[in-house]
Amino acid sequence: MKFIIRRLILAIPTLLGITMLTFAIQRVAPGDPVRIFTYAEPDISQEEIVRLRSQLGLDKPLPVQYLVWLGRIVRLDMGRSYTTHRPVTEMMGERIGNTLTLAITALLIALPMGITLGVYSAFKQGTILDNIGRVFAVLGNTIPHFWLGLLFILVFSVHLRWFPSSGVSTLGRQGFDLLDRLWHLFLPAIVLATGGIANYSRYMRTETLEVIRQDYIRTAYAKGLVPWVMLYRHALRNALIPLVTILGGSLASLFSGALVIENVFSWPGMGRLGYDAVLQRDYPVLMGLTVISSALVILGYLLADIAYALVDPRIRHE
Amino acid sequence: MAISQRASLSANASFTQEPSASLWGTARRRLRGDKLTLAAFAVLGLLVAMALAAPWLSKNFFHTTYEAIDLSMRLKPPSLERPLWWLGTDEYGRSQLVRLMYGAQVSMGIGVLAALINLSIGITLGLTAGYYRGRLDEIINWLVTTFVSIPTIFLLLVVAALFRPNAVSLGLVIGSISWMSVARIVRGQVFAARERDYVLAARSIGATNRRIMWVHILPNVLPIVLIIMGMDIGGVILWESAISYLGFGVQPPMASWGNMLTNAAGFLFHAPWLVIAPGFFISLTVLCLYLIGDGLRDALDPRLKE
Repeated sequence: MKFIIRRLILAIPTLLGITMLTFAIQRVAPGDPVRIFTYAEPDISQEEIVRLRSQLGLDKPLPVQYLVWLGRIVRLDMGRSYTTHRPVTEMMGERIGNTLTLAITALLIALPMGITLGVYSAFKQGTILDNIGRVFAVLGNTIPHFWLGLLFILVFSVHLRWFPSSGVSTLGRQGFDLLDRLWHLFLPAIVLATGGIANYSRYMRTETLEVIRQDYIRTAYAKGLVPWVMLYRHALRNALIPLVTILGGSLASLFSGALVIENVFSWPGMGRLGYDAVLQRDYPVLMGLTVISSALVILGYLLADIAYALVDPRIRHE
Repeated sequence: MAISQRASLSANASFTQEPSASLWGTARRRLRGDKLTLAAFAVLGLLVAMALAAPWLSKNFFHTTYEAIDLSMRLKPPSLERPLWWLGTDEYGRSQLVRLMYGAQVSMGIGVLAALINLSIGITLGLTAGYYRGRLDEIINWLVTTFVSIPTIFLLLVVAALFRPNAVSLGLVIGSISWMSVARIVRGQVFAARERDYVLAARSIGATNRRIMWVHILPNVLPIVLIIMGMDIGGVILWESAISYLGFGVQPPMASWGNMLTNAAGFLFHAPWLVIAPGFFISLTVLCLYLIGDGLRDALDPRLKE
């Protein structure tokens, strides 16, 4: 328990750093918060503008402005969009479900596949299968994912017509059709998962190779344990431990990847929101997205650390 | 007796020079036998040559430029009729092959520029954090963690929204937001290096801290840095292509491998060659850089027994 508290406290300076960075960028950005009001009333008078400025707190010194802004962020009030004038939190809330669906599905695909591939590669080290696996792992890291998405669309949507190329569900469908949703989810999730598969399999391969050379594995084998039992009970458990840390770090790349993939597949998620925000110079939305996704990334690292401590008893007794 | 034996031995030796046992000599020898890495070097060399020769080739061999619009020739599939049609034309009738060559200039140029910035910032911060430790280390660590927690794409988008970057400033920008891994690795290396005897020796003859960092420790950290640089340039090229594909990077008509894919996506059905080619070149370049980095790592590893 103390461990968790300690890690939480350590995360605070980073969160503060991120908020400072986003606040600074928002201040540097051209475009005035007062614009929202002057947009509605073009003949607004000078005194009105001055009054608005002091109302919005824009005449206070910068550190005070930062603290006020920070206070609002903590209460999940991220201002209003410059374009739609709706609360940023509301706009993000609509889209976050879609992005999380995509990201989590991709993770659920990447983890089992990556681990199996990696472990299998390790056991068959040096053979053709191992080399093919390693080639796939390298390719997963060198091919641009959005290009892979385009290729998948070319093959599976345009030529084979097996899967749709855009959207969350077919237009005009009433209600929630799970099968239809999954059908639309398939391609984007697979493309997003490729990077993960490459990384996890490469990592698991190295880890498993190290583990199976250990003495306790030899002992288990000498005891007469069937390879599968030995694999599960002894080797895998130990090889899996460091993977938890890598998992935590995956969240950041998942978000980045999701943004581009959402663009390729016209997936209505936070990524698309960010893309539109950049096009329209809608800074409140952009900053809100940055803060939220960074906070989620830090949460990911935190959970990974905690899980690591739970899984590895050696850490707990430090 | 033993001495004369040794003398005769060396006189009959089949080689007149001892094989170099230094780090770089061993590395060079290992590289020479590493066919995969050499092949990667060769392919990369070809790509760089293509990029550098782009202006000359497009004028004298292809007789066109990268922005020459010819709407009567739009969306031609690859054909062997004329050199500039070898990879087909895009929706404006521009030769894809020529644009790919110019794109090589842009994408690889940005990659190198960003990697250089990366390395400068990363090495400086890494050296400082690793050498001085304490307060400075904590501050730099905090900076690193902050930047690492923000998904790269958002940083890039934010900057793209703030300033419309052209090719050069895009390189600078990408360089200034991906220095974190370099800094971390250098910091780790410096941690180990500063305990070595040569640092103690340098300090004892009065070398300043700055001199020790840059003149003594840095050359020993260099092998790792070279390896990182290879993978780094690859990563930057991938990011540049992604941000250009979204439309926030290199702007048309200047060609970059990424922005060639932006409009190609719309012609997926009619002109698949427009999608396949630029992505293929991106992958090829990044793959070569990756293999070179891997090969360098194996070559420079002092722990590998011959």
